[in-house]
Amino acid sequence: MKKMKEKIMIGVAVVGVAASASISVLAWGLSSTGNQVSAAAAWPKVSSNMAVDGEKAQQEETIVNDQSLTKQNIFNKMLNSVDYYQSVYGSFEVSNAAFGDQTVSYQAGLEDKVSYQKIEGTGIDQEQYYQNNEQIKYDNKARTYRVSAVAEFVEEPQLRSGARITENEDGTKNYFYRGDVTHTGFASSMSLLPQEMAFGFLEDFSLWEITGTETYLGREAVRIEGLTEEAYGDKLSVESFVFLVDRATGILLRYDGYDQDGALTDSMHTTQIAIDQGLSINLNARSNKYAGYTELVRGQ
Amino acid sequence: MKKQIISILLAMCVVSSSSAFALSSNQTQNGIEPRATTTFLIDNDTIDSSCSNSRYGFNEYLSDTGHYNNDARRQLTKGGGSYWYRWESNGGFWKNGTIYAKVGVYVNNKYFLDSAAEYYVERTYSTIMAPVGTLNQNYAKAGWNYFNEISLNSLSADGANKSSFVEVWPSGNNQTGYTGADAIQVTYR
Repeated sequence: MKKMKEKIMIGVAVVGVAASASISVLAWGLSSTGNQVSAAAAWPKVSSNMAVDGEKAQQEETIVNDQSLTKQNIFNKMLNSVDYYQSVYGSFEVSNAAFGDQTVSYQAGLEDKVSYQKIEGTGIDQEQYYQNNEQIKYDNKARTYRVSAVAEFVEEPQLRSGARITENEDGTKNYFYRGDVTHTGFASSMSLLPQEMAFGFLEDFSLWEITGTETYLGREAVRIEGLTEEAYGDKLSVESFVFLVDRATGILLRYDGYDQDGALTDSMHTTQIAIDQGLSINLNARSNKYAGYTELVRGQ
Repeated sequence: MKKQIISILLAMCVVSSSSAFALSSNQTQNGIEPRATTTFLIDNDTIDSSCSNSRYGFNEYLSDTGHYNNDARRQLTKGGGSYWYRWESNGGFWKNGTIYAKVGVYVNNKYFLDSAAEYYVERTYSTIMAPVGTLNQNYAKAGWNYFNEISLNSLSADGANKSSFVEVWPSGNNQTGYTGADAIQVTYR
């Protein structure tokens, strides 16, 4: 692992300037979905149904169709992965100090507006269903459940075509998230729409490199190797990391985080995934095992 | 109140009725009046009389320069299913018809680890609040994290609609760590 870190640092040093330059050169072509930090804190207010003018629409289309392996394209795809698939099911395993060892299985039909997620780990057994604009979360340990209505996300064109990271005058940053249309929460943030992971690990383009492509679970995956920003890495006990990102969709397939000694301290490994192959379970045929569960009442 | 003097000077519940109107092309065509936006910036443990906080759980008060106005609160994520923390603007936002709400939350603490902290906004006439989204506080970058804007359809016969507070609920997903509550911003239109 230490060798990998050296390799990354050399690579970063060699291509850092070139990468910055290329990002600048491609500024208009790519910055419309870019991460370029601007001094302006204000998020431009655009109404939900404001028409996108022809010029910008054309640029967006160009970007969507641009499959070249650039940092900006991969970053953009991770922030907008839900534009690139209609259904997905699968599972992954996570392991770190915060979550312990957990197995997550998921199903999401974006057009049908349904999803399912199950999280299993030490002391944790949760399932949640999203269907008919309602989300129900079951705690199989406590035998409780909680219901919430699902609000509609407003189409915000700037989330696709504007800067997703801006900086305030006091130096704090603003991170703009698209709505989690999978309604899975955890599976979304770790894999299906990995915005937290993209913002967290890839914000500084000088700290990571695309080191190749490989096949993972039958999918063409882009391999990214990089270093974490200091404060962020300290929180996670991760100094260097490897991502495998599904090239076609931006779904994060695998993440390995290593501490300063090269020990694996944080990980997410997809163990099964099927994209645009429908769902593998019938969400209408919900088990009656929840019949004796108690509705969790909000504490007063 | 453990806030520093300077924080008193800073707006902790800032209400700004924006002079910039959000106009949609449909609205313009239909001749409907422009809609003003109103933003509330509310800290945890606010001392501003125009807004307030309430909570069930979230007993731990934290002081640290990394937090917004140097303080925050937290609740153990595990088993935290019925706990919540609320940021409320006195009076709230009223409108006839659909309210649109965009929420931003400030997080910056190494022990805020909730893998899917749940955020909600009030929806008038409904006992079920509207979920804004979840944030993986473990991996979220320090700073302001803004959710996609959501729409809150009026549920009343006369079309009146109101929203005045934002809440965070622990997901209960984690083995260790906390769900954090610091400052929030909500912009209504």
